[in-house]
Amino acid sequence: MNDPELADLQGALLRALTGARSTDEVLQRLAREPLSEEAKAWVASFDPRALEVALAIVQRWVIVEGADEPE
Amino acid sequence: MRVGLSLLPADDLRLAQAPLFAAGVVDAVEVTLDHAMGDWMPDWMVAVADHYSGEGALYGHGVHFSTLSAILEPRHLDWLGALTRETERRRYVHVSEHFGFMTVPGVRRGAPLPIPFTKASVELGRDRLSRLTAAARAPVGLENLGLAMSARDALALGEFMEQVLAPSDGFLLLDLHNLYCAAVSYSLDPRVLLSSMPLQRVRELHVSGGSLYTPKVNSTRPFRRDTHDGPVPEVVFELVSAAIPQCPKLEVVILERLGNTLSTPEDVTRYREDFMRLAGCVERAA
Repeated sequence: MNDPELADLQGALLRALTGARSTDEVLQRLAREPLSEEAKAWVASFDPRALEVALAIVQRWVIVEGADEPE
Repeated sequence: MRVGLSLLPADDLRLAQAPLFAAGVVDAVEVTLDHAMGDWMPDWMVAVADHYSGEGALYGHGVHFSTLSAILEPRHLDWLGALTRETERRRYVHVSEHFGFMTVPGVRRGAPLPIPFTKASVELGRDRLSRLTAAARAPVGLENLGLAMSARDALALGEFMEQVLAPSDGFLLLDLHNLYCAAVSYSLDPRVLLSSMPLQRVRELHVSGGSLYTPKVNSTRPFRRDTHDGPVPEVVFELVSAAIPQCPKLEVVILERLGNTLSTPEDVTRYREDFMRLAGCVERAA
């Protein structure tokens, strides 16, 4: 995985986590992204519980440009 | 070796910490660099930070640099510039940031997330660490995250961080509660995880509490989170005692707690007791 591929992975992961309502939806969104094979393998290795925690973290803390602060 | 407290602009924490400062048992303080750089510290925090800086006992911990973001944006360069100005204004023993990424273009604030252990990730980490080192007027280190996306990632984190830290001779800020989170979440032996970290690079330990999270995807296997909102677990105290003799460069042990989480008098008492117990661990080990 090179820098652009890593950038693609990070963008895809944050976009998926920011917009999804469930871990299934996160994985569906990621599956539609043009990621490298190495990135796809990393995503496939995710423990579902860790992904759920990542989703909770992002929903609590992430602010997208132009959005209001979360409660 | 010092034992200290993290400072945050929260009244519950300030009031809980006050008797410890008054008793003269706090050897060091750590401030959030983003607070200091942004001039967001209330007057009392500025006074404490300046006092400890004058004593050569001030440490800085960044939150919003987003160390491992693959795309370097103007906000990163702004943050580095602010770090330079802050470390010229106040003397820090050392500074640190998190081993993760928080933002991508279009996301203006985040929380640290892990990245995969690859050659590109190592090169990225080395580049960002060298930029931090050039910007700061102090040694720079990175802190292990509490969230690993798999057991394999948790077990490989030590080697990953060593490969990033080595070229710049960066230090490891070892968060023992974060390590404990990985151990609990993935049913790993915390001492095995401890041994997998580059302990020869540890200059600072973070100690805190957190919480157990019951995932919807598998309610029979809870996940431990580094929420910094609870007392220090017994196992983490054991890890402190185990880690100290194995960390020859250890400078400081910091008790962390998020503000607005000390809800009852019992919470406050336990926080102060945790600090005194930590001070005892450090004294015995030293």
